[in-house]
Amino acid sequence: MSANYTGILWNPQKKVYDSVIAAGSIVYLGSFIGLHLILNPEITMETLIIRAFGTLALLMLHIILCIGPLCRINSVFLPLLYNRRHLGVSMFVMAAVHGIFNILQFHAGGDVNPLVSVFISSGHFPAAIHFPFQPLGFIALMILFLMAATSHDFWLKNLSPRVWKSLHMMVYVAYSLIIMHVVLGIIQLEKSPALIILLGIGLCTVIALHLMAALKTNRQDTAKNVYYSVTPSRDDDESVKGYILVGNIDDIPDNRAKIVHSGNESIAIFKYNNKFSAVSNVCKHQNGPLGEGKITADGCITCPWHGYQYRPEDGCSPPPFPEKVSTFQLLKKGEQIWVNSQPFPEGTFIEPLLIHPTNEN
Amino acid sequence: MIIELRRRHYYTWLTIGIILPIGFVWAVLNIPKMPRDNFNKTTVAAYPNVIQSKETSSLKVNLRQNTVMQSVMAQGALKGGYQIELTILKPLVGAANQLYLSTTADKPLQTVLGALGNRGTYYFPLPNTFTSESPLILTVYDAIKQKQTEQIVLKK
Repeated sequence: MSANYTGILWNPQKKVYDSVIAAGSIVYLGSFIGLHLILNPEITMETLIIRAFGTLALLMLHIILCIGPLCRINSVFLPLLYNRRHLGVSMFVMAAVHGIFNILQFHAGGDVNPLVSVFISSGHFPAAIHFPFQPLGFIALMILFLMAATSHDFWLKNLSPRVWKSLHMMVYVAYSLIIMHVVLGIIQLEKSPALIILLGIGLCTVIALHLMAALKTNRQDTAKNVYYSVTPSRDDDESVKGYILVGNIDDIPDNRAKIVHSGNESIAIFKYNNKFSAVSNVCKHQNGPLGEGKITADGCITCPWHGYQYRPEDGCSPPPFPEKVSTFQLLKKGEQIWVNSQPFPEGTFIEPLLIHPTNEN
Repeated sequence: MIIELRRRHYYTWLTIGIILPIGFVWAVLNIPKMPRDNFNKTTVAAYPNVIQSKETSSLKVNLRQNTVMQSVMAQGALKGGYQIELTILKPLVGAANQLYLSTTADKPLQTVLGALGNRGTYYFPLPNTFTSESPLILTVYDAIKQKQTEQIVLKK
């Protein structure tokens, strides 16, 4: 996988992922519309479309927001994360259909511009039923539009991962606006409590998963000692001057890494095939934590977020991919591993540190 | 950077986890206590006597009276026994239409009778305080847009 945006790499996994999204959406819309036509044959087609697409977008948004924390809690969910953007764009399309039909049905018949009408057609803030819930949905839709429009790797590369990630974290604002849009809108007039209960369950699930994931990773960062507290070398020990202590050889499991921080650098030290190599902990794709990934059967470090790969000895992605990360010099002293916090230029080959040099001969 | 990102996520969700449930509960607790059930032909029988009728391009309204109640009222024991039969002839503009009853033109939203939905016929029993002597102003009001959709006045 690569951040190269010259073309969409359609692999079997992406095709399966998109097929499941399409099939699931069709089944949901068909079931929703069919059931409504049976139970409430008087309903108009416009209302049916608004409700069907609105509830589908809401359901998809909940699924999207659950994928991230689920992956942090259990790596078995990671395949769902790799193509999450496809689900996000699909969700935006559903939400856009809901929004467009709403504007056409409720705001296009007057003498005011329909978009202006969305913002001025209601507005008594103290009362929940009179709260202008439609602007909340409209603003959320604009945020989702921005995210969908910039979801391609082209924008990730040109905006920089930091800006791109910040922009896409706006989904949390959009989610909050959408929840209030629903609860101050249709729920104020809904006869059945089912929607309130389902929405409450969805909200609690999303919040609980995110907090659980945060607590788990926080424990990992501290108790499990993944992020190692920096121990600078002693001034009087010239042999390790400029290096920081990583730990003992046995601290790192095979094909895994330990992460240390020094100043602005976050360094992942991998152990594999009786060797150690150190690379930047920050993936070029979305700043994912390379050190939380592993070295796979092909000998490459694989980012746990989206599967981007790098060779441990030079930090380069395998051909034809162009991504490179910084590498770092390692030092072995007794049973201790030390790393120099000064990075080499991205893609610089550094001879791996052998754990037992004699065994290699 | 990664720790920073995690912290941002954590504090974002800590904030959402506090604010959003509060907003959710506030909105649910403030759901207006208004009738949400319609009375249609399948559940409510039409009162036998049609006293008055009026029709617009989208609505047809009959003021109906119960014969049994009429005889009781004739003895002066009770008021009431009236019913509004409202037929939606073509879809109303607005998503949340409520039918209001009023006896004075300056307060058209005096008493809410119930919710209106799709095309069809709805029945709303009138409050016991209403008598055939009262003027009858029926207002269809969109609770979302806070806008009057239709108004029908039945005069004595």
